[in-house]
Amino acid sequence: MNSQFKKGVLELIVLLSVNKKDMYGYELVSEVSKVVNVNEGTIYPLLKRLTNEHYFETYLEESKEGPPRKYYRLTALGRQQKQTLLKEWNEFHECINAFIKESV
Amino acid sequence: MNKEQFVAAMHKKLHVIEEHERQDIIDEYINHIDMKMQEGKTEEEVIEDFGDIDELVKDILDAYKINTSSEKSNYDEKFNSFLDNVFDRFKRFISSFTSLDVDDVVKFIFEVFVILILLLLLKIPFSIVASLGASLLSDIIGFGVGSVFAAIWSIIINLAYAVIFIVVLFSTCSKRIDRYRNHESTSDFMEDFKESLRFEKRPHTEFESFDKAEHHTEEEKKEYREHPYRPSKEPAQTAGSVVEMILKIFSIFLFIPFFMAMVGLCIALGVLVALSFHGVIFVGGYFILIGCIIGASAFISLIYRTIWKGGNLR
Repeated sequence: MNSQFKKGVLELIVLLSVNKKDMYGYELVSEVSKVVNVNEGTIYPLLKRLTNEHYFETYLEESKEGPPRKYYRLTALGRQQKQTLLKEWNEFHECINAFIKESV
Repeated sequence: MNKEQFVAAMHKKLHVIEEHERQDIIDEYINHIDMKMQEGKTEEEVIEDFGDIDELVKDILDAYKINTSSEKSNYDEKFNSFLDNVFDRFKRFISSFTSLDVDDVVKFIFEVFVILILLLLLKIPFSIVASLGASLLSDIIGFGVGSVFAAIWSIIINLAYAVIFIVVLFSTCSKRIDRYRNHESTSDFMEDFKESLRFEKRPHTEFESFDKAEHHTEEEKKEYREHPYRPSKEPAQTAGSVVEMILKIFSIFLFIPFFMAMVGLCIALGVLVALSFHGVIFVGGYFILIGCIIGASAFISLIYRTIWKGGNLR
């Protein structure tokens, strides 16, 4: 699939995933890569950016196996951003689909 | 690439990010690698899956809004191309009505600016002479008539200054333009300015200073001997000689206080020597006096050289 498509929706998918429940980095990456086939390494920078923009907040939690994990939690601002992106996506999706129906 | 190499490379490439933050990011990757290895992959495979490390670094830096293809650099590029465009048009505009290069024009504008500053500096002695003469005249001749004379005096001095200003400015500018037209841009700008200040003996002094300047080629010299007279400035020359007379008179005024100071300093030195015979010795005093004498004589010789050079004393 076109990597530009993926990049555009990746943020929405990440926001939606964390909205379901708080997740740690690796868990989130595996979840997202199940939906879109994307280079897993590139999701971490996205998480960093969303944290820097205050859509996420992080906290540490002990794990049974290995070192404590950094969990991501959606902030109020993040929920707002999720709604905005979702709305944009739906409008975009409808618009494009309508056009495709006309054209084909 | 194994995990250690990967971590070292990331540290190096992300050095602009503050250490705590950087460690935080790299920890995520270490964690990811460890988890993948639990699932049975090797370090190398996992790192290979990350793809190009530079791409990864670029993504991370983007998350911090650091350089790469941010809007700012786009802006800079646009601004630069805009400037280039304007300069290009300016170039075409200039070359449409003159044979000068744009570089030369820019240089020339700068030089005119410098000339203006030099001439403004020259204003200082003139205003001193004007106010001195005016107060002297009004004191000596008496209140009523004296003030009229004083007014006339200051008008004369100011007029002289204005004449010098205009003549020097125009002759220097025209000389510079000539030089640029003939592409003799190697010649010294200050030389032209001094020549314009010396006025009357121009063809001669010009020739001389030209010989003195070592960086001119033989060919240029030859051409110069064939055309020693640049476009004529006859009125400028006569005005120049008057101005030079005024300058000389002014320099005499300047000499008087300095000579007085020299005489006073010498007397003081003599007194110090006499005192030392009586047993009172100021070692510091000697140094101060000798320093002052040297300074004053240096200043006198400076005035002498700048104003009387090319005059009848030579």
